Amino acid sequence: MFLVTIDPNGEILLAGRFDATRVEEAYLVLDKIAESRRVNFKDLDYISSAGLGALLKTQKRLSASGHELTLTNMNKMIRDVFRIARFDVVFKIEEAV
Amino acid sequence: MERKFSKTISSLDDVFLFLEEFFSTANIDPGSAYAISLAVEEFFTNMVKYSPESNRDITVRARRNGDAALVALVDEDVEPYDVSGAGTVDTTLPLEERKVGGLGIFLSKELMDDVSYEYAGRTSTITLTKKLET
Repeated sequence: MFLVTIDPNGEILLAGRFDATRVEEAYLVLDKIAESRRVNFKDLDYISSAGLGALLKTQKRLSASGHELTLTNMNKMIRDVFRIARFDVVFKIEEAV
Repeated sequence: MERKFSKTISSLDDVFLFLEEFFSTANIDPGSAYAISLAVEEFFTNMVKYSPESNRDITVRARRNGDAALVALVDEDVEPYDVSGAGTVDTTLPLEERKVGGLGIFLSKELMDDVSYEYAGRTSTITLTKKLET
């Protein structure tokens, strides 16, 4: 299961498993983002390099117009993946509370 | 445990179900299970993308050996593709220059304790070893 939605406040919500089979689905939403947004990982259980790639591509596109994604509420394992990939220097990450 | 999967990306859902069964049966901790799932996805996806000359099924074998989990991916009737030199990624580059190519293999090698490659009889076998949290 994978879900990517935008809540009424404009926050992007990711849920389930963001793997190589879900990238096209994710782009249906990510490609519509044109300004800075928060991406809430609260209900995301898993992400692989395919999901990281989709977020990186979106971040690059937004960065060209001075915007960015801010990532929030990652679980420990996903946070580790971001740290190992050193994606924590290309994304602003708000630590889970 | 062993199972065969069609050589397409859409098989990943079934691969994950197979791994969940293994994690449950072998009592694998959640952190190790995540790492193994990621590495299997990355190498399975690599086999689909870079060894398209064969449409034979990919075999995944998983077993627990004491405090380690071993998972092998077997790709038959293919040219050699030695992963040991792959996955070199410069993680220090700024955003504009960061690329995703190679990232999956890089992450897998970081998350696994060992990744070995064998090629014999036109068959590639990648064996992943993960020491488990006790």
